[in-house]
Parts: sequence; structure tokens; C-alpha cells
Amino acid sequence: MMYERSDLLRRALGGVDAELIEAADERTARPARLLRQRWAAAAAAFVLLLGAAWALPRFLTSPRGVPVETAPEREYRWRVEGGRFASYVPGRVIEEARVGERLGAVTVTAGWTARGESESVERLRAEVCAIRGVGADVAVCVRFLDPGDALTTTHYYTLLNPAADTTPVQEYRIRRESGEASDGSVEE
Amino acid sequence: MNDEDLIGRFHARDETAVREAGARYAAYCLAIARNVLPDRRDAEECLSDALLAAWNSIPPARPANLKTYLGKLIRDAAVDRWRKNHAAKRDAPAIVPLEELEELLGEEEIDAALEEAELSRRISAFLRTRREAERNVFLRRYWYYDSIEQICARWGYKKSRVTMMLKRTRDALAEFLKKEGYFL
Repeated sequence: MMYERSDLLRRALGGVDAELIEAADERTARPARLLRQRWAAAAAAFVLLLGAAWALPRFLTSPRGVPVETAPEREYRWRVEGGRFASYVPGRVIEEARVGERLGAVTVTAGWTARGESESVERLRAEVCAIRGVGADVAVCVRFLDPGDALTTTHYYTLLNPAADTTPVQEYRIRRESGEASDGSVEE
Repeated sequence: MNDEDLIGRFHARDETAVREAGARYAAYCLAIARNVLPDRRDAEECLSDALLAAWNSIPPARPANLKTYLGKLIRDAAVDRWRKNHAAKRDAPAIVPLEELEELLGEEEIDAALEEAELSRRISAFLRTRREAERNVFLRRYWYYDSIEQICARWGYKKSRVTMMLKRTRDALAEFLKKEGYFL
């Protein structure tokens, strides 16, 4: 026997547990709770908004009014002192397999700066090596012989000539959010 | 006197129990009937029918909740009355919530061999898996036959929200019934 299509379902719904039917008949308790929840959510959103309005300008601007992304709080910078690599900018660490012949020894000036002002300076000895398949006029790599505060003596750091076409070593360039290559500084 | 005592008086065949039940739950029952029947006299006759049905079914029945038991009786009485009133009319308007239930079934037929009581039990289990707000809205619509506007007014929901909640629950119920093997 087939029931009229909705009839069995209608009658079966009629037999749903009384407790559920009674709960659906509550009129006052639920809206009060709903209203409280809405007020609580609105109050929380308002407090968040106030907090954001207070904190955001302070977060985006340094004490001198310079946007933070162009002036990190504290960073470690290094450069080769004098010679043909003095104008080269530091890049990322390169795999040892790509390191070529030794080209010579250099001295590096390194140290921490905070908000653009020097905090410490250290002079480190380093050896310069070629990068396989890349001319020394484009990029070389450096291994430090003295341990620096933020540099190891076990890795080879690339040094890139900003005046050359650095496409072959593109992956080792360090880019800031602004899109410009950096001096390879380590930010803290 | 609580409902249990009142049911005891039904069992003792004390006719004053019918009057007492009517006085206690008339407003509740009439509200359900009026959702189906716009005419107040029709709704009042349904109340009499429901009370008579309670008198005839208790005993042997011993409902755990007299209020919802009477509610179930009057919703059946109201639908029967509505059908009787519109039996001869070809272009009679449908009871909107029932129409929505038919949509839920699609073209499927239900196997009547499966017992109504068992289906009720499973629908209860299904409803318990739904969020409280969705469950209550569903029951207001298909148990109490409330209009969408009545549901909105009851809980302060927007119409679109109620419509969406109902659709979601109907779809989930259709899926549930399919899985349970109720559709042939």
C-alpha cells in the first residue's frame, strides 16, 4: 500500500518526541539569549575597532614617522672593505656544489644597526670564491673565516654586482617588500 | 492537579477530565488549528474533535506529555477538516507547509510497510542532530504549521534566514530518509 505522498511524513512528524515539540514552543527564553549574544558580539566588535584605531597608526609608523617596512627595527649589515667587490651587495647562501675556485681574501665590515644607526661594528676575515658558470663580474661568494654575530664560517654567502645583469643568480638576490634588492642584511 | 493526575482521570473515565484538558490547553490547540483553518468556528470544532479523540484513545494510551498529545490530535483534526472543506473544490489552495513536505519527497513513493511510529522515532533522532535553532524553526513550520512571518516574529529572524534554515533541514531530511531506505 502506498500512502498519499506527504501523508505518512506529516503523520510521522506528528509523532516527533514531545520534548522537541515543547522546546520549539518556547517563546521568551531564546530571543533573550539571542539578544544577549548579539549585544555581546557588537560590544566585542566595538572594542576591537577602538583598539585597532589606536594601535594601527603606531604600528605603521616608526617614532620618526618612517614606515616600518623600509626601516626595520634592528638589522645586521655587512660589506666587503675596499677592492673590486666593495660595491657588491650580499645575497643568499649558495649551495657548496656551486662554489668554484678561490679568488682571494677580503676583509668584511659587519655589524648591527637599529633604526638606521650603527649599534656595533666587527671586522671579519673572509675568502672570496667564484660561482661555477657565473663570471666574477656578476657575482661571487664569500666564506667567513672569523665567526660574525649573525654569520657562520661554514656557509658560502653570495655577493652580487648590482651594476651587472644578475639573471643567472637571480634566485640568490634578497628582495625587500618594495621589490628592490637589499644589501643582504639580516633583520631582527 | 498536574497532567499525570488528569490522565489518571481519563483512565478512570471521569468526564470532567475532558473539560479540564480543554480549559488547560484550548489556547495552545486553537493556535495550531488556526494555522491551518482561517475560520475560528472550524478551529473550535477541531478542538472538540481532538478532545473526543483524546477521550477515545486514553485509555489505552497513557501519553507522557498531554499537551503535545493534544497538539498532535488537533493538527490531524485540522488537516482532516481542511480536506473536508476543500474536497469539492478543484482550485482549492494547498496547506503551504504540507506542499513543502511534498517537495521534500520529490517523485519518490514512501513504503507504508514501514511503521509510522518507527519513522517518527527516526525523524526525532535526525532532528536531534540538527542545530537547536534550525530544529525549532523546522518544527514550528511543519508541526505547528506556523507561517514564515510567525516564525520571524517569534525569534526575530529575517525571512530569508528562516527560508534558508527550512530548506537546509528539508534537504538534509530528504537525504536522511533516502539513506534510511524510506523511499522506494
